[in-house]
Amino acid sequence: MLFNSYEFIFLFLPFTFFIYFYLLQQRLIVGAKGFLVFASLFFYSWWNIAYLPIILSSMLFNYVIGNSLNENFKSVRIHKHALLTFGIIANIALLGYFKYSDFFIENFNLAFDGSVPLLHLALPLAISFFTFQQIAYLVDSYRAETAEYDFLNYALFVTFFPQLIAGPIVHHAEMMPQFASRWNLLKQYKNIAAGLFIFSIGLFKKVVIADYFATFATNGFDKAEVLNFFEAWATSLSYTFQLYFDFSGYTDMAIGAALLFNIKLPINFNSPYKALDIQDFWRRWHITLSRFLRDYVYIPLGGNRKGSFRTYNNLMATFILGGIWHGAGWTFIFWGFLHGMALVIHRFWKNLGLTMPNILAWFITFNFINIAWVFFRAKEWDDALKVLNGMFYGEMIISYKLEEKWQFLSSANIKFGAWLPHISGDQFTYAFLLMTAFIVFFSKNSSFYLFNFVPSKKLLFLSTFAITLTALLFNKISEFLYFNF
Amino acid sequence: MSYKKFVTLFFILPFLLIGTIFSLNIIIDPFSITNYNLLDIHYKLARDDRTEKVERIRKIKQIDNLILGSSRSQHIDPKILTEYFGGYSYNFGVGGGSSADALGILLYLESQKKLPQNILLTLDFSTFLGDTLHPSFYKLPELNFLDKNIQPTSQIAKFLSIDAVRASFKTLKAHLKQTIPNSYFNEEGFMVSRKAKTVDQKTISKQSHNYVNNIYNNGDFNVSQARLENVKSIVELCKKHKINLAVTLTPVYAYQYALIEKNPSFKLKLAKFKTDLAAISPFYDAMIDNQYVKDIDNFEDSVHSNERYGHLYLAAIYKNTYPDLIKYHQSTTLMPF
Repeated sequence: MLFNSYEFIFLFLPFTFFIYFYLLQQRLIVGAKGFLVFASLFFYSWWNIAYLPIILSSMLFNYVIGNSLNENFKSVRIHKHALLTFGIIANIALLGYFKYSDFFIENFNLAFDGSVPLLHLALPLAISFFTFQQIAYLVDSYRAETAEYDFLNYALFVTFFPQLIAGPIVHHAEMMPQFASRWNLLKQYKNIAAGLFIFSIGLFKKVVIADYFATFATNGFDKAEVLNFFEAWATSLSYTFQLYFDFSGYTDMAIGAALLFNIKLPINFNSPYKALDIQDFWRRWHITLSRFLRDYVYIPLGGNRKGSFRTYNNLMATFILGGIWHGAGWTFIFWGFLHGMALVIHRFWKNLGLTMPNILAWFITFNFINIAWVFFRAKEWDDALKVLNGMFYGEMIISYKLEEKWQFLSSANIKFGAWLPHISGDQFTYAFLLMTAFIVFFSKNSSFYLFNFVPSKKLLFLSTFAITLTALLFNKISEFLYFNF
Repeated sequence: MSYKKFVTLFFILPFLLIGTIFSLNIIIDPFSITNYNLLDIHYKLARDDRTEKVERIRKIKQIDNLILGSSRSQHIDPKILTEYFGGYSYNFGVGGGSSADALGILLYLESQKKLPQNILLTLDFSTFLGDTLHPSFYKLPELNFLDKNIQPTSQIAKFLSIDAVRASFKTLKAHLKQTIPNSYFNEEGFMVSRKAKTVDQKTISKQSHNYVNNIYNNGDFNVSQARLENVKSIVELCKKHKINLAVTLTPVYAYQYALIEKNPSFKLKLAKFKTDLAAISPFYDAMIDNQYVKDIDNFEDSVHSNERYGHLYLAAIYKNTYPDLIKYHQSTTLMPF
């Protein structure tokens, strides 16, 4: 079930909300939480019920291992360590089997001229998210940083529908106390109002902005080999904005939906395209993933405590892993490598004590991110290179309608022809790109409005406008990009 | 404002606004979805021709002759087919309409047991340049045979869409001002133009260059095998139901075709496409219909022929030389332009 669908907005969400609080009103706390877990699993099964046993068994397995790690707190260290290793390997094996089997087989066949048949497994929805979430739980249980949670709260932590499919990747320490808190069992209009507001903003970001740019990005990457200069830039920038508004829109909706149930999810975005360097970017983009990679990969590898060379290696390893997490493909790995490389260069630059003007720092950072997304989005290596070729060596073709007035441009090697024909663009495409860029670079983000939420006519008007406009665009429903990861 | 008041108004205001828009679209009904015409509106100005035509086809009890194609065939008057064959004729020419749209609507008609006796399948060469289909194809369950799981909410979505709002306002404005639009679809799906569009030699030449360079990519494309398969399915369906099928390639202005021929690899690719098409069905190749495609007065632009040519086109296919002309032309070459 998509957040941006009639069935979610008009049936599932209100139905779940009212039943949950009705049960709480009747003082059936366990029943209410049980219902929320059931509703979340129903939400998950809506796509494909075949995946339900996977998430259930993963949840049960990790709960047992996590609790055992807790119980073994005072036992011999080797047992605890072995149990944790077993738990992590089992989680990674599950993820690896579904997500990376065909990738490994393909590369094995290529390297050794083999003919091992591909498995063609469908990727169970959200597996990357709930696996990482539970690995963190196991590690913290090993470190004795978890309390002994009851199964119902643990099940809610894993399955709670707002964050189940595409995050934010929540941490047990920030979720469990909220599920256990009695204060959160009361209907709170403050949270409901803020939740509805932020949900409507997220919906607008996804349906109106991200889906608008999706057309240009999809067409551009599908016809990568023929893109001219303006088309190639429109393609890459469209994807850059599409991905941001799609994923941050989803996160806003998740935060909003969770707030209705008095649960505060962590923010995942903080105007990432305003970043002045790549480290700054990763503090603003997919914050909960960055946090996971920092706490459970980078720091355990040694972080920056073992000298510069080791730090650079750790950064590279962490970001290549981040790339692989997003998908089984060399383009994702290369994207991770590029970001790792950029972080290494940035750290080296900082160590030298060098600086540069903010505007230049922003320009370099944004363009690097934009170019790196090309590898992230491209289905094949070749497609990425073709889009980049268009961006740097493509012919400059502007509308033939301007030929008479702007004939002088011919001398600058600018040709006249159809305007953005391969991406189905029109005279508004670049205007919308500029307008969106302006919003992204200069306006306050939705987290600001959430944290400073005070009901007002202005915000009510904004919400009404967002909801009405998105309702008129629901016939163009599309999935969220991060559902694929 | 209190939080409770905000929550209450959050539900009331969008509900009222969406309800008003929904009611407005129901009353004006720009796609003619309902059977009511409360305001007695004569001209519906919908932009989404697929939705409008699918709705019309859903309502027609029997279609005897059907024209299938893209915007390039919207100026073929189906009434001429009625003159030739009798019965009721309809033009299902839709923007960017490919063989997938044609197959989709035929499968729908088959399911409704409303298949026609005569079909004119006009194939627009540009719809074979790649597998991508028009976005509207996917949202209409009556067309989208590729995904039968399409959301059944589409009827509501048709009234709750930006396209519907835009069309409603346009329609209402024209209705209140009692103006007759310059062009509109009549009951038979024919694009009626009050004032025939004309094009001058300079513009049509520019358009031709633009098509060849940018739309056809100077011949750098792969012909869609999926769309050819769709043609094959249409031919088989017609055989199965003993439907009289005529297949044609839609005309382009001769200058554009000459530009294609100047490019050897493009010419070869086009010839290969025609050979592949001929292996599926004999067809009338209006692209090299020398007697007509060289006359600028037959075109609105370099790829859209006008009503006048529509008449000539049908006559060429059905009246004068039919069935002799319905054959694959071994030579794809146009007379020197």
